[in-house]
Amino acid sequence: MEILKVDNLTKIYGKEEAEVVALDHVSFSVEKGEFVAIVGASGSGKSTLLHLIGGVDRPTSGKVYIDGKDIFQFNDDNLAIFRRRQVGLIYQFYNLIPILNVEENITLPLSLDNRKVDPNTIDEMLKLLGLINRRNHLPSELSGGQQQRTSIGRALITNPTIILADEPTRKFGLEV
Amino acid sequence: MKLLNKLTIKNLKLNKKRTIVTIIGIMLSVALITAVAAMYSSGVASLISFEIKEKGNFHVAFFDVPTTDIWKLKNNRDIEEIHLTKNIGYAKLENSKNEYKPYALVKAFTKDSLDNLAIKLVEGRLPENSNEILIPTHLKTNGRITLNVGEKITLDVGTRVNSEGNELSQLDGYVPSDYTSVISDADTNEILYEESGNKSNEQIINTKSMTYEIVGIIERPSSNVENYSAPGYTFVTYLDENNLTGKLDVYTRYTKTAVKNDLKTTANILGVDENDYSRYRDVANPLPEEEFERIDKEVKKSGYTVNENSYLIGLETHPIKSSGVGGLGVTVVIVCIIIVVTSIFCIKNSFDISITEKIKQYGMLRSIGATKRQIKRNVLYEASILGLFGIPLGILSGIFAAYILVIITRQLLTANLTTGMVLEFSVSWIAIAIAVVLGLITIYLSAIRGARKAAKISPIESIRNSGSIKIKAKKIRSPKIINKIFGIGGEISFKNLKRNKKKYRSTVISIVVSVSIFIALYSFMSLAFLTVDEELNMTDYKLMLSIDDKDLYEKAIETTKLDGIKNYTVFRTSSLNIKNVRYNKEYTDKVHVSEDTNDKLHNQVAALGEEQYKKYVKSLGLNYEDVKDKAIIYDKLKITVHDTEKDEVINYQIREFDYKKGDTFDVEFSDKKTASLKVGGIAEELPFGMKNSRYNSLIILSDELFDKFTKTDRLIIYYDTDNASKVQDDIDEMLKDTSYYLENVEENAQMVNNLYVLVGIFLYGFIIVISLIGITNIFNTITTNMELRKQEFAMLKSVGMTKKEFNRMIRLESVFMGVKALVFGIPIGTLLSYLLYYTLASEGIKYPFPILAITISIIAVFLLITCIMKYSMGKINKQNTIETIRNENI
Repeated sequence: MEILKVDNLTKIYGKEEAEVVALDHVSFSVEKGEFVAIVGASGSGKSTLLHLIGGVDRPTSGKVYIDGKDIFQFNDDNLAIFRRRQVGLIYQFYNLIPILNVEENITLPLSLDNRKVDPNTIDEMLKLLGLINRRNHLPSELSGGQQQRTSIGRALITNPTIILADEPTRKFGLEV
Repeated sequence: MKLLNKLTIKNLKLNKKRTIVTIIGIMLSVALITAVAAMYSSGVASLISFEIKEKGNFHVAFFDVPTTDIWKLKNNRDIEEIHLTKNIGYAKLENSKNEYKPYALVKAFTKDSLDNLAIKLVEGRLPENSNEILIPTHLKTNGRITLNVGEKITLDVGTRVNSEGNELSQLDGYVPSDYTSVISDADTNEILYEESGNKSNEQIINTKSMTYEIVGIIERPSSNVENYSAPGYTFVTYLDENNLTGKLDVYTRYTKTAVKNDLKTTANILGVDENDYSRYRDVANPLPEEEFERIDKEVKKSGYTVNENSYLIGLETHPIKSSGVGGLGVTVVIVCIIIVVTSIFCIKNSFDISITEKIKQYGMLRSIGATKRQIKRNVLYEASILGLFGIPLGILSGIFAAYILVIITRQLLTANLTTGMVLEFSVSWIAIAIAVVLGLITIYLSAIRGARKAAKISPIESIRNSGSIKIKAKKIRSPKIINKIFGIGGEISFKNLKRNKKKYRSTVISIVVSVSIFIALYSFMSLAFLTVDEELNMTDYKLMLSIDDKDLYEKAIETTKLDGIKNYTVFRTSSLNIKNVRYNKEYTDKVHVSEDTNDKLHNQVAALGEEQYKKYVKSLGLNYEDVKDKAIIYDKLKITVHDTEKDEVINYQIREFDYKKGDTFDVEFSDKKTASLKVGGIAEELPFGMKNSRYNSLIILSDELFDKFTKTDRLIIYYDTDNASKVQDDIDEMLKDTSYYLENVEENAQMVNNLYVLVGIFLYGFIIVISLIGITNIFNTITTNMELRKQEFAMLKSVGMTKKEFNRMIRLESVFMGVKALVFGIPIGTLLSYLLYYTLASEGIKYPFPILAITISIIAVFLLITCIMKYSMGKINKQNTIETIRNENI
């Protein structure tokens, strides 16, 4: 079953002199359960593509279907809700909230959705990520790898339909 | 608690300093509003208090109410309290020297009425039974009847009726004799108005002989108790509340709700239709005669006469609209608007900063699925927490500040003893509620824009961290000179300011606003004080006594012998017409004189009192014996001519007439007496006390000559002394119990001076608080911007910028910002100050260029910016470079 379909996606940044065509009519699809890696030279538009698929940015033209739904038909609010439930985003730079501890950072998406947090689920997640002893630490007290794992935990906690990771291993080699 | 809210609180705690500064900003703004509201409510309360003390504590008075109706009024739900009086009757006073006031009206007051109807005891005590009586002071000063406390007086008290047998009241004046009164035009002698009347034909019947003991003396009662033309002096005795008979006067106070619709309430009491009565009492829209008659009949059916205390009702129900206070109310509203607008501006900036700092966070939250509404609500949540602390603190400090201000005002205005109004401190709950509401509105409006902006932050913006920098297509060049003087650090600063215009815009505007208002206010105050100086220099006398009663002349003149008086003039003046006047050609060239007549009409003629006349004559180099039967002319007048050609205003001093010593001229005095006067001398100077007469010619005669041809009722004495207040006290003592007017010029000027000081305190206090609010804003802006650029600074250091260069860079930013702000602020402020001068200054005062204010502004601005930047720089310099760079990646 097709879980993701990208159709003629185009993204152009800037105007006139400073204009950059980041994506030029990109199309492809991904099946459920598939693991896809997108590789390319730096500056080739990988992050841009990821952001568009994640609904974090809007394209200049083209469509993205996740689980059959045309995500850019949604208004901003519905897109946000969709995103928090269906998509897990892991970034190049971890984008953790510096004043929340590990546990709080991980449960952030659930909290936004006003969903109750099941303590067992959290414990399991923390064990899986090897962060069980660090649950109350702030990001500035963690190593780069631990921060990235927190970020991954945040992406996974809602059991999303699709997980997008933007060069997640860049920073910390083989730990993962 | 929701994680999002927890986040907000953590953020606030983390940025303690900024949080506190923002709370202080809110607190100041609310405090200012509260203080203004409290001062206003204090002012209104004081006016009401004063009015009640002076005129009586009642809203509507009903006269001639039968005793049987009293219980109805007492139990009326709309009436809060009633004060009863009863007219016992009139008695003829044989010795009254006032023809229009030949009676005593004996009026009985209950104990409660004595306390509530502005009965002010001057001597003795209040009556406790119906055999004791109080007499008013004006019985002696006006009627010339002297009675003392302890004496017994017997009066034949009865009912005063006219020839038809109808009872008369204090509203029916007494006419002592037939009269004809004519008012005619001063120039043409045309008769404008003629009135004639007959002597009152009335008598007092059913008299009963009553003997009273005088137990006290009261001030002349308020006009609500005894109107000015009342024919009877009010004598106050005691009314036993348990023993009421006959008809009473009921002074009522309506309840709070009833007084809001006082006309309707009154209509109900009278048993008249509400709408009819409202229209009947509407002075602005008079009814057609028939309607008026009809309603009037209805009103009269009740049998009561109604007297409304409209001023008090107005004060208590619509203080803002009420006359006299109206202007003040409008001012208060305007001031509040200024405060709210300025505060919104400053506090909004604090929120903007807090949001800018959290762009990354908000973007990230959006990227993991927070809705716009959640972000918006989050910002408002932050606002409400700040408000939770700021508003109550603001209200408390505002009340405290108002209390202090009331005390200061009271101190400064004690010189104003004549009115006896004391400023009392009063805070109405409505005022506080309004302050709270305004505070909430301020915070909400400040936060809402930021909230919307935060919600709009697209996740991508935060990821890319490009948000606040404007991408301009062209490169930003910095002038080479900047690089030359300030080095690479300077170049970076300059570019930073150019690209981040928005961030610093509000800082610059805050400073501009504060500086311009400060300069304008400073000019206003200096202008005000200049005016006071002017006033004090307008007269050469320190005290002025004015007497209209011929019988007091002798006593008045005796006052000139008091200790401490350096010089005096006993001034009497009248007017005369100079027949076939000879003007000075130079004068008529510049000033238009009437072509209807060959005479000069209404020229002032004066006598100075023997002693001053001799002094004056001597000072002019003339011989007393020579001139005592001649006229001395002072006609060197100050005139102002507007030269339309050159468009300028020129002052001249030109002689009005063409007479010289030895000339003769004919005059006609005000009562048609004519004379031929010889000119004894032309004066170069005016006599003492007449300094402000340089605009009108004066003919000075010896007292003897003056009395020969004319007369006047008014005697004026000008005094020069070094100890004005002592002399004033002495004169008061000498002339007590008589009717006179004494003015202390110094005291007046002092009072005006105090008033200006007070205004100054308010204005400067106001501007200082507004500036403080602005400073909190500036502090936030600068410190946050510094923090946001932590990474940038750390990077600069890591590539090798020295501390010195770094500091120079920072200093440059402050210079640029300060200069920009002053470049706008100073001209605007100067312009405002010139506008003030143009509209308010009287002639002769030059524009005081506010150089001092400008200098202060410049110093203050740079001091402020430098301090704040130094503070932030200190923090930055302490940071570890690597950690900063590393931490930015979170």
